[in-house]
Amino acid sequence: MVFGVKVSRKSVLTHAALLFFAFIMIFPWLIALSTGLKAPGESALNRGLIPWEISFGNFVKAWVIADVPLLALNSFVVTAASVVAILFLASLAAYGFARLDFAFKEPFYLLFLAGLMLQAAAIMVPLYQVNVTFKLLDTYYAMIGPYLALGLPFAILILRGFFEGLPEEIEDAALIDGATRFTIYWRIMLPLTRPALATVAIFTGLGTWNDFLLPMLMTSKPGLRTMPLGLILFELEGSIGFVLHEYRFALIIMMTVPLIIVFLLLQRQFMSGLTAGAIKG
Amino acid sequence: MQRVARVARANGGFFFILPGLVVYLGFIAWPIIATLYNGFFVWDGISPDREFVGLDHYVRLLTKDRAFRLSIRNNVYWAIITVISLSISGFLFAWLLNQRIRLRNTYRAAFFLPVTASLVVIGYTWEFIYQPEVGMLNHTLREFGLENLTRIWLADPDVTIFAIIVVSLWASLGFWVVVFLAALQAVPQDLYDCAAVDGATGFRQMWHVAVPLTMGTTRALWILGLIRSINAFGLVFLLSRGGPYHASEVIAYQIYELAFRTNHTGYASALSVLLLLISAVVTIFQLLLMRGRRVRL
Repeated sequence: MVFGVKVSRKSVLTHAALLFFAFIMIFPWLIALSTGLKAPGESALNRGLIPWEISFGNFVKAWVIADVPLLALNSFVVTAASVVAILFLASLAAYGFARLDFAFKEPFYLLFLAGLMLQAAAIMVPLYQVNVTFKLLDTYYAMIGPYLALGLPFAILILRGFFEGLPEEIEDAALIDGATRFTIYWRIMLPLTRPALATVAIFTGLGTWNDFLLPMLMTSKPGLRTMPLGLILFELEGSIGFVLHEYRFALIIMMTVPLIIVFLLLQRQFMSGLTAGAIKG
Repeated sequence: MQRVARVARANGGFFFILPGLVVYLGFIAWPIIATLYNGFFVWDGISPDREFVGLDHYVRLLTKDRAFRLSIRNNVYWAIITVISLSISGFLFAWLLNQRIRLRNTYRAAFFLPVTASLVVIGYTWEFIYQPEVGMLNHTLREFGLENLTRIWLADPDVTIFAIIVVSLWASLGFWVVVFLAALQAVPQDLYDCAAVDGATGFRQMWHVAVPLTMGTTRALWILGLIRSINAFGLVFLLSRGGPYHASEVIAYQIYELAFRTNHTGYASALSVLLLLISAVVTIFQLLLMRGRRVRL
């Protein structure tokens, strides 16, 4: 109003309401941020949001105690392997469902879709037992296998819809030239599917990166810890048996900020992925 | 020979789904069947001896197990509270954000940030907020002279499960807002204009135009919200470990305790089967409700 902008009463109310709730949503993050910056032990005395002195030493401590490079590497290996495998197996299957015929096609499709209602927490006992049977415990595969199986239904659902939306004429030309179905899938269709693949990759990649249940159940070697598990076990790593809140929140900041940056960069694909997932799932 | 070749060609597509199918059956279908089987045994998960007890586990679960009854109650609370309040608040915020306002993306990001964070991060941040002495919540209440409202949030049998559900609301609100927002953006402006011509403003436009036209999305979110509530685990594990005295346990957490803490794998398997049955019933029921409606965005 100072600047002569016309502001209606309604929009002032809208902004007031949104500001208020956005602040409530942000507030826990502010607490995390300020605690991570306070001097070790300060949070017990200073409950305010502004640190008395900013202590970057927390980050060094947390980095060393938790061994962040190792955690990041493990998270990266598990996430990348799961995502690449999901993209390949799901796009292959989705192409089969979308374009080819075979016996019991729709029943098989329904079998995959039934997996949409499964969450790792509901089947942790079976997942653990299968890893025992295959002797996979304490390997990356013990996590990648379940992530792969749990990620397939959503990926196949999204990719089948996308393949069916592409015109069939593109493939006819290649078929006349004698290309096999697999060549068509690999050389022609897959490159066209890139937007849907990106959606699936972001969606499943985030879920895998953030999951703590499977790493917690399937691994016990420190060398296999992923980021979220590293945070859970952080408690036990301090020299006197516990670590300070300030260190823990420094680790939390180090874990969260990169994700926020990635999210802001990929916001659009992200939103479309979530939306597609909720609408069709 | 020729017949074999013909059959193979007609079913060639099967080879495209085969690799995915093998992984899916190996890591999901087969272990679930194995769990069904294990549910009939008393078994610690490791030793080769197991004792067949038939349906005893199920009978005990449904008639004697007090912790299981508490879990069911807490899952029901979780489902009812999250689905209802997220439907309403998620829709309202999406409605506000769908107006042509400035800073829309900033607000949206503020709501959405918790969705990108790991549950572990969320859990520890809120555990800190809920701490009885140094925690921000009790501290703020004391500052405002509301001493009698302070609680030991994560160790009070009457309060803990609700304190955890609040965290779950905070963590998933952004998701609901974003999905509702996408649905609202797909509603053609003409329809609001028509309603405006007929004299409908503000609230009435929302209730008579926006709500019915986004019903497909709402139902999809309900299914998802129910599935997530039934399978709630992470926050209970991180914030209260089901305590005090099972008061904040949920089914999935009980499975975790039984299978991985106390080695009652057989009993935990029976519980897993019940949890899967509940998920399946809810999904099928919801799909029947939605049948014939094309969910579109």
